Amino acid sequence: MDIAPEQIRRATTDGRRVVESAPLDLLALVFTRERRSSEDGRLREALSFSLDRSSMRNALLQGEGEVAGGILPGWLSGYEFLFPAKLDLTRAQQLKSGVKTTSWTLGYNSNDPLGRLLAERIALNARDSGIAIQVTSSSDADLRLLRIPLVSLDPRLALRSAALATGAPVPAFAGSAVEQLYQAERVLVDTQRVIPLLHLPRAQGIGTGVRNWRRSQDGAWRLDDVWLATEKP
Amino acid sequence: MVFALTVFFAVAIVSLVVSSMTRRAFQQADEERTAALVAQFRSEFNRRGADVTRRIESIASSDSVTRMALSLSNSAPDYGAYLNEAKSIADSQQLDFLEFTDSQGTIISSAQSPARFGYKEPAIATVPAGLFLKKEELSDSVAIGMFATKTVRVSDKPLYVIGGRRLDPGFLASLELPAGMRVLLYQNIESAFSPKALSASSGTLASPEKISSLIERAQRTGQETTESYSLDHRPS
Repeated sequence: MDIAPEQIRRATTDGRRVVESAPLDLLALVFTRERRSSEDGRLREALSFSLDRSSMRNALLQGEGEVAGGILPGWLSGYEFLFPAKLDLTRAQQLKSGVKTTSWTLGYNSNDPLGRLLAERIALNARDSGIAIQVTSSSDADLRLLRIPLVSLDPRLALRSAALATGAPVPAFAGSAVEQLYQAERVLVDTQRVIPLLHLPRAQGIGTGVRNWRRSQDGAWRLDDVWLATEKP
Repeated sequence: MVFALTVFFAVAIVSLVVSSMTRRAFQQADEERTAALVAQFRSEFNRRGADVTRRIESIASSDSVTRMALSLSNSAPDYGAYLNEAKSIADSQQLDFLEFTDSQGTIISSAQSPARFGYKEPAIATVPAGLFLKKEELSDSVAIGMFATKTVRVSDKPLYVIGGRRLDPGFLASLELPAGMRVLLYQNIESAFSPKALSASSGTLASPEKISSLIERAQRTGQETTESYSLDHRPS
């Protein structure tokens, strides 16, 4: 059975057998509209700098996942460290200063209790730099908290799919080298349609009798060698 | 003629005296009844307050909170470990608000705003002893509550327990009030008088603006304020 990332720690503590993938899925804030002005862009950048992703990971996700600055996880792209993801409130306040105050609504999936907590935390963080965010479960919001699955271990396919999921323009690749991949991801991040937050693993709880459980790097199950041991009474 | 006039004036004087005495007696009886009703309300309000205080003391002396205080005295707070702690304890104690903070007022766990861990609770520096009223900012609104606080000292780093119940129409409806009495609650959230902030233990008030001057005077002076009004009442 699937285990939510924030439940992994508890399930392990309770003695359940849990297998988890590398951080695959991207949890991100996605703006429903394109950037409308340079001021709008400054506010979006200020919001990104005001987010304390580490405390979201440590407390709300119980230490699971990785802080995300880029769209692709670092283990896949190798350059994620080039995208800043650190809290920088001073920079956020500088960017916000002089920009007309506006209020955004942040939508989350009402069936996801973690989504609500994350949305409320984001609203609190945003307020620290003077940005007002109203949390709502309505689908008609200025930005949404989305979980975007990694669909392929091919970074180009994965990036293209993430762009489609966020509504951002699909990036063009000038070549197959990592520099071109980085340039394409840079262009996608610079559209400011998406603010990456965290990369999350996928996890399953499996029975004690299950043997040879394996999964590929993209999280797909490999059931061909799985067998069930007879449990002693 | 003179006799008739004498009788008329005598009757008139007696009538005036009797009328005046009767009015005074009614007024006095009315004042006494009002005072008795107010005393009864105070007693009920204090009883609710004592209940909140008792629950906070019970939480502060519980094993789980003592363990939390011990753990926090030895290491930096693991907010993840306590994320749902305040909420589950508040639910079991039927409290609407509950927070645990360290001596600096940093929230360790919050029932009403679980995402506020690590932020400061500004009230902790100024909370009076005993029961007090406090404005609480929630993610989508502002509420007013009746709060109590208790300090847990298991080391040189105290842990504060601060919790309470929401003061709202539901609270008013749950009060056991004497027959014929109605309580109005004005939630002092906005600076200007707002009829929407006024709620009644039963029915609605037809002209809430009538008492705006009373509310504004109480807001301005911060003192108990008394005035007499004749209010229209719409049954619920």
